[in-house]
Amino acid sequence: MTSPALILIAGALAVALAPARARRVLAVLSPLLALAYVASLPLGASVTHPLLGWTLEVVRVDALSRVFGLIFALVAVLGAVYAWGIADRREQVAAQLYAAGALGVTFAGDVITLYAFWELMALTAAVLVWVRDTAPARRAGLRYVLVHLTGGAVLLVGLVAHVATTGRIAFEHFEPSAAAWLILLGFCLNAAVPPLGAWLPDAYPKASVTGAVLMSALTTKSAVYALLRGFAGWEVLVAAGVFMALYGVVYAVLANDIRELLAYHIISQVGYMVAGCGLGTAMAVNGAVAHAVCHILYKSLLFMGAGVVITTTGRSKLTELGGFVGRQRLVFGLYMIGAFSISGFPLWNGFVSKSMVVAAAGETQRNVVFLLLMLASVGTFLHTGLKLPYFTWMGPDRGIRPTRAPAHMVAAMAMAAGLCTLLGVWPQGLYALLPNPTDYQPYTATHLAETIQLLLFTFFAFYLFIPKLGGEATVSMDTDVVYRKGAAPARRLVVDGVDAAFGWAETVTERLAAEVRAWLRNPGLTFVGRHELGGWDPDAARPPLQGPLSLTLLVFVVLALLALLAA
Amino acid sequence: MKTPGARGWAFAIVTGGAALALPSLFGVDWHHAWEELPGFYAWYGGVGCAVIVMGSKALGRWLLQKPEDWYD
Repeated sequence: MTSPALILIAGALAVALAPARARRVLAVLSPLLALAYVASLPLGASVTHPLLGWTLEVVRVDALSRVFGLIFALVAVLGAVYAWGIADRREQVAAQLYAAGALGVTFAGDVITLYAFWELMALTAAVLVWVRDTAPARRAGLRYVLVHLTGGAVLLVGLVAHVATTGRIAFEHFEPSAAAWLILLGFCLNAAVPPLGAWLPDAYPKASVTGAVLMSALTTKSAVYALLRGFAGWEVLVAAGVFMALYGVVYAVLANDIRELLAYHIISQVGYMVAGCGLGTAMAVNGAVAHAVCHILYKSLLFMGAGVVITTTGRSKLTELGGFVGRQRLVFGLYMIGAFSISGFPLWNGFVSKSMVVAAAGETQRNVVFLLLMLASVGTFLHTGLKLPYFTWMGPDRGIRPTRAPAHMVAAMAMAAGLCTLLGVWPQGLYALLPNPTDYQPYTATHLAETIQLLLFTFFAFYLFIPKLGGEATVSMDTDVVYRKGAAPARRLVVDGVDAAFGWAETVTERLAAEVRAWLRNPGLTFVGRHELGGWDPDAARPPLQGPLSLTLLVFVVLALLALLAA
Repeated sequence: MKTPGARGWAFAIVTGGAALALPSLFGVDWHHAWEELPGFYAWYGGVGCAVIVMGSKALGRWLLQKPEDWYD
């Protein structure tokens, strides 16, 4: 038995060496094998390896890791099918390694293994941004990797402190301590908890079309897994989750780029999971896990739909799109299944998962949390289910003639849409995988009535506000303004300022050294003054020797003459 | 604001009325006091949507929205 991550790492190696035609097959086969292998792992399975006196648990299979492992491997398959026509070797290798990182994190039973795969994810995800090969993508990828390596450094400090103080490397629930808070910060950065999450809407809209599908599924949800494993029941996460849910909604109103809008709704949806983690009850944890699974399916579907739009029109902004739904009905229909799913429509998977977290908040008498999460649901339907599809495919006709949508992209969308629907109508299949036993029934008259009222009247309000909801050619300032706008003054202060100070010191030192050298060459200058000699001139400095030499020669000549006379 | 035509009004009245009647037609089991207000989730959805749009737009105008080349 070995880690499922190794299957994908081997797959990445094979993809790196294979010719173009074989690569696409290997890129699908490798995650398919990983999925089959994860499905075959028995609960309770464990694989350990000794390393430098520690015993690493590279595979730990329990209900929590198995369900996350299954969905990560599954979305890697969907992503590979979606990217079937992509011939970029760098992207294919990075995608395999990125998914390997997510599986490695999920099955890590110790913090050393966890950290290694955590950083693998950061580096390979940045490659998925860079491979788009545009200047904004290169800059965004650099910011992505710098932010995540900084977060990784904080995580590492926390993990080292934790191991040093407890003497244990097992990845399990953390008790409050300074080390645990640092670890929490590291996890929260990857979960995109504001103000640490601005990297997400910065990078995802600029990533490659196919890479963004995987990114939408893996980084934040692997962080959710880590939070559920290590911090379930930490009260601070309830407030953080609710804030996230609304934060994403507000920014989505302002977003103009379709993938930026979807990216902000990742933050909003992950907010439900983080809140569920913070609530910590059996139902809340189940809800967070179920919502993570459903979210991966519908969010990858939504990013696939946005990717098809970008691929077939070359446009990504609401202000430049619209009026071509008649030419892309199938893609639009499949996208809408994702939109219905994320909005929590009955018959689709969001209905059976999101409501678990909300119900858990109600069950624990957290009425404000309950109402605010319901409000975030309104925002989700408003943007992802109404605003984005209306202004992308419908809305004013801008004369767009999209090219034919690639069959592999549509096929992947159909697979994801099918899974969203399957879990919506057969939630027991999902509930059976959850870490805690549950008898939750989503299809009750009460739940159906509240959902139908909420969504229908949201639609009515959307209709009235259509003139106000169109895209605007602006960007939204997020917390990344600190390093995106702060970089120039910081460079002036820390780099240019220090550089200037060193330059000045160097100049002064060189001048001083020149003065000392000149003085040492001719100390006599101290008495005669440089102005009399016009600076250093060996010939000018020579005359004082002529007198004694002439006198010596004269004495020698006189003595020689006297000697001759005497002779 | 966009105003609906006659068909829009008819659609809104029929579907909205049906949605509002749902709790009365089927036995619902509300868990919170505010849910006893008639059509609570209907107006929570409608008013909530308006608040989100107006509030976010105001926040955008006041602070968040910048020209597209602002970061460059």
